[in-house]
Amino acid sequence: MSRRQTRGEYIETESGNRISRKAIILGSQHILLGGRSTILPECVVRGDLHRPSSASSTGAAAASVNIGRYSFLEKGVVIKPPFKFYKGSLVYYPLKMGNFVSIGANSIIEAATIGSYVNIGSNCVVGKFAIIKDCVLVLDGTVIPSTACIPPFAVVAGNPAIVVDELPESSAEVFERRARHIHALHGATLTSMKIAEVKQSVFDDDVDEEFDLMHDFTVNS
Amino acid sequence: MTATRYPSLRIHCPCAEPVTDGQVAELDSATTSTSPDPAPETTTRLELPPSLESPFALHALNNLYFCDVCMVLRCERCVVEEVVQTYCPACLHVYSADTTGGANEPSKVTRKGRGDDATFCTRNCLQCPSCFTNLIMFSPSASEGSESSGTVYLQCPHCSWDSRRRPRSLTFSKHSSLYQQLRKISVSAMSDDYSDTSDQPTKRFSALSVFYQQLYESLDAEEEESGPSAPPSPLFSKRANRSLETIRFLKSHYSKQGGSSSASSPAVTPASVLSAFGRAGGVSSQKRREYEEREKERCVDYIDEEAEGEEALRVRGISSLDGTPTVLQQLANPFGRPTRSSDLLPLPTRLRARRAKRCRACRHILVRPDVSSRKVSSSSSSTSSIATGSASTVATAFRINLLSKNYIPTLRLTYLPSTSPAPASSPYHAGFIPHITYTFALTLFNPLYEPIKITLASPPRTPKHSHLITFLTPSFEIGPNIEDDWDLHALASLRTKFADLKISGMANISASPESARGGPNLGILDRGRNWTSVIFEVVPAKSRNSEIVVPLFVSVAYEAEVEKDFTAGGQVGGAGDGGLFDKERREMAFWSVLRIGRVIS
Repeated sequence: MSRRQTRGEYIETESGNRISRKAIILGSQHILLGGRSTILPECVVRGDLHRPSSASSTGAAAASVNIGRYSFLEKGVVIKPPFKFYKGSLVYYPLKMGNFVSIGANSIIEAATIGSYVNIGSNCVVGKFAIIKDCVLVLDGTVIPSTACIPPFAVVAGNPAIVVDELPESSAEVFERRARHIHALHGATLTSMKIAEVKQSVFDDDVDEEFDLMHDFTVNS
Repeated sequence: MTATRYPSLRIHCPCAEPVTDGQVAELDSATTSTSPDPAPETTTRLELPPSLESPFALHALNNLYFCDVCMVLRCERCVVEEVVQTYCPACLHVYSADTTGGANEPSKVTRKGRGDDATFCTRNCLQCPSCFTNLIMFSPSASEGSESSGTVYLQCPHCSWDSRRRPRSLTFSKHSSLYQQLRKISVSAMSDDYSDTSDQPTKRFSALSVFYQQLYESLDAEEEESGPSAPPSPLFSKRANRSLETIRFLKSHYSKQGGSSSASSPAVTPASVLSAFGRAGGVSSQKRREYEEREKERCVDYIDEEAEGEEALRVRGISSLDGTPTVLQQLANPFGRPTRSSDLLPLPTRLRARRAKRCRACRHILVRPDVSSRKVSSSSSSTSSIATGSASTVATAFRINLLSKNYIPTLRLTYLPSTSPAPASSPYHAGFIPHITYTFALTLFNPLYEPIKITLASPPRTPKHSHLITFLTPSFEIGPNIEDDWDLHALASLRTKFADLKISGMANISASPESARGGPNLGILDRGRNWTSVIFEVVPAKSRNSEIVVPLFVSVAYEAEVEKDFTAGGQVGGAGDGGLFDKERREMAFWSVLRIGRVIS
């Protein structure tokens, strides 16, 4: 164990995923990472909560958590597949996330589907079986009720979530760029910085100022 | 959203300005050099557009479009929108879609299914009346999961509003088309509230006729009293006369109809009517006092308990707002304005639209969503793309999307700590100290495939607090954006370069080969394939807590290759080089506002 930890605090997979050793990943055989995703410390990904293995024999079909490319889970994010009672028993359903999804610190995700180019703020709750379509910005502290559906290009906020604004047509490009940038920046900081500083450096204004100067929306809330 | 983050850059859209052709020409010529060394151009005065300080005219680059016919930026306010597709945001069912593909064809909208022209989702999408969450359908008789044909009820997954928990329990008789069922229920609910509907029109009619009778009489009396002594102002007399005529007509009309004048208390005095037409000014002070007294009476007697009925009495008796819906909840209800929370009915879901956007000036399409797929986005395709790891899904697809960032240079600002007393850490948040020269690198990235010539201009001092601004190089060139890859590599190299600079200080800049040559390259910090960094300096003035806001005029000129127009007739492209393409000089210019930080004293 001690030799492993000297190798770094992140496990880097072949497809470029970075998973913190301090993240809690359960049932990893049921978790599918698309590549170049990052999971920061203290995240919880519950791959062990999966459908009873009656129909699941092939790999992809059995996945209970599906995370796309260039996803970024900040510190303390909980990803938990949704469940419901079906014929008297508890059944878990798979959770799918698209590409270029970033989730802010301490958010709890129990959605059924999250599209691509979705930014979820910190301290959000995404309820069971919620569907978030592509190009959605979820502001900090939003509570998306269970079974809710968030249409594409929406900005949602509040408890319960209400569409407060609309994103411009450029948002897919912007989110993609941001996701790639954060991934690259995170990789760069890993080599020279301590893990505790990584998150700070990625989202700190001081480091990120050049980026945010132009790549910023005007959002009413 | 929050307080301004520094540095921030907003781009000015001139659509708020009443721009004339002359002004455009003036703007183009106003490329003044603000550098201390004598500029080769004639120094015309740089005029700031008046709306440069108005937040509504300033936009993030990503919120702007670019019309490549007019060669101007277009903001949300200067585009014309047209609905291409309507869909329900809850079930994503598409209600109508404009499936014509061509850019300038007339749109042909195809309706899908029943509920054409619907503004609400006519399927089972209903919203919670208290928290606007999508309601879930339950059937009490059937066991979980199995289909049943019995009655259904609705529950809110967020606030646990339950359709059965109302005073009048609300259940639906069948599983499908809840919207139609809700409409029927709401109509019957409305008629329950006003149970004496048969009586209503006659009551209302007699009340109105009494009111106009009295109004007319009092007006007549008043005219006799103060006729010649207080002539009405000529401006309003016409309108006042016309209103009198209207009242006379109404009076005769109602008296013919036989309205009974049995009511005792006058409901409304002419005072309010007269003051509305500006005649109250001509009335003596004594009379005004009379009016005021009568006005008071009017307020007391306004609520006619018999006429208004039970509902009004209940509302008058309310002492707290418990059990009263909020204004938002009331307004959201398309079927009426219930005054009790328990009367709230589920809300139908309003449809959303995907819109195409056109340039307001030339009608050129700037944005057109791709609506070829029936659903807004099919979840199956997105999952498959995850599984295979392929690119984006269909939901965000556009046929045409002319975004400004693909046409105008993007700007980045980097702080360069110098050897002078300026602090080494970034001053954006720490604040600027007056009378110290701060040096920044302004990096411009060229998104175009042609090399561009940039001319920067700004007033020598900021308009508000007169902080000193100096651009060492007002005019320079940027190379073409040949490889369409991420400029992260460029950014990374930029980072290391600036990091070196931070270590060795500003001495390096003056010694760098680019600027050592002097001449046109003076002040160019560095340049890459499609970007150039120039130095710009700020000396904050001594004004406490003032914001440093730099107006910056960016003008872009380049030679674009355009296909030769052979159809237009013989003498096009007289350059005679025989190629398929012509060189065409294109220019565009825009104002931007750079907020750098605040001055600490």
